[in-house]
Amino acid sequence: MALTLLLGSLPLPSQAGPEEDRLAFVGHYQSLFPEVPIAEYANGIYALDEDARAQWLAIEDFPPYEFSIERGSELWDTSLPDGSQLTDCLGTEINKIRPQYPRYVPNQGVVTLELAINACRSAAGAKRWDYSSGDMIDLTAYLAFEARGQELNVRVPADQPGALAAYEAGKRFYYSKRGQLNFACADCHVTSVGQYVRADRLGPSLGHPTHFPVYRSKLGGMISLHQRFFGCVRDVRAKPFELQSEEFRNVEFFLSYMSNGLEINGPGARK
Amino acid sequence: MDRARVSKHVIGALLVSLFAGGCASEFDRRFDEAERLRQDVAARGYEWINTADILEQAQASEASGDLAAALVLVEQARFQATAALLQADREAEAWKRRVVR
Amino acid sequence: MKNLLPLGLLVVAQSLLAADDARIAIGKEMTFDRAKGNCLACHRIDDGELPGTLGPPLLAMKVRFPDRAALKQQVCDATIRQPDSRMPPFCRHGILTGEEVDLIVDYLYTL
Repeated sequence: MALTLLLGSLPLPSQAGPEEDRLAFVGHYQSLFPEVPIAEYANGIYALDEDARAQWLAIEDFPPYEFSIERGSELWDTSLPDGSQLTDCLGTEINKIRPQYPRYVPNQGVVTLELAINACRSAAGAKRWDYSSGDMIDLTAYLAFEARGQELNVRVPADQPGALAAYEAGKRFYYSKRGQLNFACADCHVTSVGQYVRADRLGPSLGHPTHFPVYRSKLGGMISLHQRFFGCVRDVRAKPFELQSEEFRNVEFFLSYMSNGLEINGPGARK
Repeated sequence: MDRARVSKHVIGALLVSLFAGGCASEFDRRFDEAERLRQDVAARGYEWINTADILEQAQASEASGDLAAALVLVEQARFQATAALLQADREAEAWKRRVVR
Repeated sequence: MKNLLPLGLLVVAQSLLAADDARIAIGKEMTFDRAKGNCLACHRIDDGELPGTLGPPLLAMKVRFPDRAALKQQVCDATIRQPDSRMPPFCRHGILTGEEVDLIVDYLYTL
């Protein structure tokens, strides 16, 4: 009876607040790898794997994403059809733009940097960019680069029930098994982090959103965070969602919240 | 005699067309069921990667006259959509167990 | 006729053994095939290169699973024993048929 009362009075696990979730999430990795400083998780798997880290640092000597940053910088300075520039719409402090996203906006849901860029282009009479286009990825690479050293600071305001709903939807997606192979994101990136799937080591979700977009050697090009999500969902043999779909934006919102306090260090380079 | 033979042929042709018609509608019926299940599971966000492709292949097989292959493919798609719906049902609660706490 | 009987038995026994070998060879193929078992993705198996580490190494299977039905069930659908298992429910999700699992089990029992 006393036990029933006690259990009855405990909140359901899924109803824990975002900040409790985040502390538990960080704590999970901390208990698995006590020697790894939390800030290191911004470097993904290279926080955990010495050999891969050495190779990665060698790649970083001549960053394969440099060209993307340069192109992004040119796009930033290009005038839009109505004579305005993106800076008029997105903000004048260039290092403060990337850290404002993803954020929840009532009636719009989770607004990512990509969504904000397209909204600005649209308002200025320019064509919206495809979310897998080189232009979009280059511009986000540039804005990430300019924001290096700023911390992720995603907010789920208590007075906006929609924000909590979006966060909860992203959390639910992250922990749900899907696809013919029946994997949840968490099955690999929480439960099995650091383990090998054939030759590949599974990276931590903590710190995952900080370094995108990334240059992937395997693909010989830059990819966005949502393209990475797309690849994972496809690999568990589920039908992937569209880039910048509500599902993926909610996952980005949840995962970015989990990484709050970590430094933005994009663009990155990955195998 | 001729008349009898002709009517025999007519009846035969009729039977054949009825039989063929019966099979085609059997395919349509099973295809529609599998497609409806696929749409149900898609609406819940749990569609698997190639269920729609399998249904497309089934249509192509049927169109090319290979009804047997078409029915095997439709059954495969129906199986996938059904299993994915069960997965969605399980996950309605199961995901909560995995939350890091 | 009397003398032929043992010879006949030997022939039958040999062809049965050959059938076993064939099953084991097919089972091994299914175990390693990326579109079928793809077991190496998560398990160390014999001398398979670059094995994954999500699951335990597949060895001493007869000791670990003396009951063939239990091993077959584990390969078919590991979520029966452990609902949150990371191992795909191969049969329930139509990745492997029951017959294919039988062949894989034949091979696993050689490990």
